[in-house]
Amino acid sequence: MVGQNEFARRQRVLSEFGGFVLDHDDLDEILDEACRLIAEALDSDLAAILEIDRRTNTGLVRAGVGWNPGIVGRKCVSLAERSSEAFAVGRTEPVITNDIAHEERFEFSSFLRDHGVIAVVNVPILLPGRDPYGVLQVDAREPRHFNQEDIEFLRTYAMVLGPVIDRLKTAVALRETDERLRLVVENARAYVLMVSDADDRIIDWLGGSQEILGWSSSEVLGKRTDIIFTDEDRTAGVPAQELSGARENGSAASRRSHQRKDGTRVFLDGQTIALKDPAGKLRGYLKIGQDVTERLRAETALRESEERLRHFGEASRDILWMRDVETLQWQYLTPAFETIYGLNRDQAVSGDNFRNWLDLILPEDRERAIDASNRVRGGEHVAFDYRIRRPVDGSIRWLRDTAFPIINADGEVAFIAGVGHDLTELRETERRLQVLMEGIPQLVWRAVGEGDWTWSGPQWTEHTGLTPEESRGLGWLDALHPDDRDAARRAWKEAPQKARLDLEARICHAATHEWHWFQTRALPVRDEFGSITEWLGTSTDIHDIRELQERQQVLVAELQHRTRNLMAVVRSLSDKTARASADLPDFRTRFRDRLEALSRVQGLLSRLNDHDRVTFDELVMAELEALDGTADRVSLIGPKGVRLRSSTVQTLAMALHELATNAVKYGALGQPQARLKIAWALQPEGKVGAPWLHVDWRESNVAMPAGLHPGGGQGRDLIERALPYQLKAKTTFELGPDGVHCTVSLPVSASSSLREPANV
Amino acid sequence: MSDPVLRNCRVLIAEDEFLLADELQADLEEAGAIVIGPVSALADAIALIEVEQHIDAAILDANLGGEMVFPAADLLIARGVTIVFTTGYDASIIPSRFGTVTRCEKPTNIKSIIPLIERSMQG
Repeated sequence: MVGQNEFARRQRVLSEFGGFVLDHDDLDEILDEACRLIAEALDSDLAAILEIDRRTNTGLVRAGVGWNPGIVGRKCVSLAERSSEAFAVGRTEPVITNDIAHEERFEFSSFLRDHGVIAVVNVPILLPGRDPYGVLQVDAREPRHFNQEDIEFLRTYAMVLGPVIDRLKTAVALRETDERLRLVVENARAYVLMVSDADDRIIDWLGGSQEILGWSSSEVLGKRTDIIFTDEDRTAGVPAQELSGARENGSAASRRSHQRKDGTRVFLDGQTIALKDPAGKLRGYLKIGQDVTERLRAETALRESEERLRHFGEASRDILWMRDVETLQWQYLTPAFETIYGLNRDQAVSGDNFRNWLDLILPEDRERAIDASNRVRGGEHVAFDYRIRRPVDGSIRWLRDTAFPIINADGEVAFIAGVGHDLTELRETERRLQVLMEGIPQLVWRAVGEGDWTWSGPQWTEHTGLTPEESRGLGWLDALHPDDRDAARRAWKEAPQKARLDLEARICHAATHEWHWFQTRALPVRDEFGSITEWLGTSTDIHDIRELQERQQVLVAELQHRTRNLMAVVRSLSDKTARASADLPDFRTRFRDRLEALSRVQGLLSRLNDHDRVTFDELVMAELEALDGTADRVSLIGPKGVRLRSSTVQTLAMALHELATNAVKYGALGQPQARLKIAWALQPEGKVGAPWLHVDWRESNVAMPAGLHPGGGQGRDLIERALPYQLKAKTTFELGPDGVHCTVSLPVSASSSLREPANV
Repeated sequence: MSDPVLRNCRVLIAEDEFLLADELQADLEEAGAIVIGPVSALADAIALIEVEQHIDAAILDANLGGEMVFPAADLLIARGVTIVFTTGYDASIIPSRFGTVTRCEKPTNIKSIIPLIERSMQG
């Protein structure tokens, strides 16, 4: 039985607990105090409150008094079927074990035995709605009989505890939720968070609203939400549409430019949400919007950048390509592929397109292409040339791929990529140049430094007999005439300064062992900084040209000599003619006549080449043809083809001319009955020397004028003096009773021979 | 030629062109000179030089029928005879050892040759 005092003590405990609860709101403190008070009230030194965790079906010793360290807040008790605590919760009734040594219904946790517990009472703690929270446990270390009053008190105590715990748990949960919400809202700096009431008046201005839009909270509270819209949107009624959309559908998307306090634009991506109470009554609106201005700008920039890259790739005349590093399949291929390969890209990328690509490559280049691809897969940068055969027309194209690996964030090769350039034109040009270099008659070579040959063409080898290897370095000097080698070295020393090499030297012709003059020229090839990287040179055979030049010099000198001599002769003729002329008209006739004779003989001489000679019959014919209508009175008897020495032709011609002129004026060619016979014969070359020509000029039936023959003068002078003087001729001149008789014998060209022995 | 400036001056002429030799001879004789020759060939010139004890001056055509007159010129210079080359060639044809010898281009002007010989006689 519980006495009056006892009852009062238990009342006081309840009242103390009630007071403690009013002053505290920490659940753990309250539960610990609850344990302390209940232990005190029941004269025990051990009490605990276990909190049920339904997920694990365990009970945590949440609070307690009298326990060793490590139990309260830590110890978990299994709420298995055979536990007293589970039984109490299940029955929602206190369960008593007066001596656990004799208890057969339950099994007890070991920590109870560790504390020497003998008697146990478990009372369930129920939250409002009879939701079990846990168990209030009082333990005793000696056998103890808990009576009905103890049980009732415990039940009452537990029933007080239930609502207290519930209130505190709810308060804590609310407080935590509030705290989380506050943190969320305050930290949502990237978002506009705007709450307005049902009349669209702003009541909360949260998150990043101020930062993003520029207004402070106090500036906007009470204002309508449309202040953050652009003027155009406001005019178009967008704000109202968003609100009505939210009212009708719960929310309305809002992705558009808004306006800041300073008038600038900001793009918000979000929605307006209608806030309704459980009864469906509209309480207000929440507008959430993320500032995506930067993201949009970045996206636009990225899109534009991609677009530019695409244009770049599509406009490129080179092929830009990318392959997966594992499968080697094309991931990217620009349209230039179609132009160069003559193959549709869709066709090209179908199937195992690496295999197919290799099949397009000429078999002899395939290995190189595979090797290059593998090296790029290994991380190298590789440039390689190869040929493809275009399926469309079978033509061959030279390509150069400059390939490189693309590394991912992990530092691994993710793709291999490259630029394919069509070298065909270049190769063609190279080939043509090669043909040209090997086809031109010059000896072609390349050199570096001061005449260190690096390459020589086949013409050089053919001419000198020196192989390219033998000619390398200064080896080519061996082909030069020993006397010209120093000049060659000097020319090379000066070449860099002059930026050209210019040299004339003799080079040995291997086949004939003859020295030929060559003009050697070279020009420097420079790099982009202007430094000489090498020399390209040619050696041109100028032997023939040199000989020709020398011959030409002789000819020009000879021509000059002859011309000047001729001028002197003309001057002399004019003097002589002037002395013999009666008056100026007479002089003019005579002088012109002689000049014409001179020019006839010049004409004959000028037609000759080296080995030709003017023949005597030509000379006579030319002179007689100049005199018209006399051929029937002249008989010519003598062989054709008697070759005259060129140096004698002019003087002989002038002498013949004087004879003929006189004959026209006074003799055989001037009188119808008169006759002229010109006979000549060749006396062959004898022991005494050159062959001789004997000419006999005989006029007949000429009625000789009385007195002195006026025609004697110049013609006679020439025959009697000039021919012996100048031609070593033997001459006679005689004025006979019926005409002139004149003989001339002169040496003729040693090579003189008769083409035909017939008379003319 | 009123004044026989080359009186008794013995001048050798070697010129293969008869007309020119004849003309030169006439001009020199008019100037009072005694002409030796003329000769039209190198061999004739050399033969004449060898027999003529007294030669004051010589007018030599550089090219005598295809032969260069220089051997004769050497003989004359060795004897201290004043010589004048007449030639249709330019200067390059004359060997450098004759650098001081006067060269007259054809057609020659007798008026420029006579003073040369006259000066050499006085000198």
